[in-house]
Amino acid sequence: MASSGPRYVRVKRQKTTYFLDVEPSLTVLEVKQKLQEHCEQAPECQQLMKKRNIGWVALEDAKRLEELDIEDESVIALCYVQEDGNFEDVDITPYNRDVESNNAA
Amino acid sequence: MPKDTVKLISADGFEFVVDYEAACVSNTIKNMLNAGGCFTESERGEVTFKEISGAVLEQVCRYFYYNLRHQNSAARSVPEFKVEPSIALELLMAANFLDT
Repeated sequence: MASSGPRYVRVKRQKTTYFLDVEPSLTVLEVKQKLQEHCEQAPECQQLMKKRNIGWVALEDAKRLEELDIEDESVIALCYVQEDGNFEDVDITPYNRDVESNNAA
Repeated sequence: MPKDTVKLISADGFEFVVDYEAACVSNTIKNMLNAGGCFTESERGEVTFKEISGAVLEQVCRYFYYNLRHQNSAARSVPEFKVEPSIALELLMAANFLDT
């Protein structure tokens, strides 16, 4: 079945989640421009990351969401640029219950 | 923060930024936001829930979008809204409070 792409995505950084309405045809850069209204970081100061099998992978600005295999309700990590010019690591605060269930496992 | 969005804050300090329209799926939130100055919520577009954890509130927000998307769909074409059993009871209590 062909994927119809995302209707919204969940962009997360630390304890904040943005529910962002998107069209599958939006580029990553356009998503960053939408985010700018919320987080007041210019697109070039943002990096969006998606979790793949090999770990977190940065999303390229020019790509469309539908090309990147981003599903509806996907979780995307938001990273800001640091003073040294590099982007910070993915930092999504887990819920307490996740921590507990991981410890129990 | 843009005007047409609302920030929902959980008891454990997680913040969820959703569309105003989505948040108004909850009559409780809608009333808080439209109370006309009685609540600080209506001025700043922020609502704090002292009883709802972040894990539950995220599912609540997912439900808002699910509801909006399917409210005009024929019943048989609406997919199931999946909830983890471990969270179901808390989610039910939150839904009751939020009048959703």
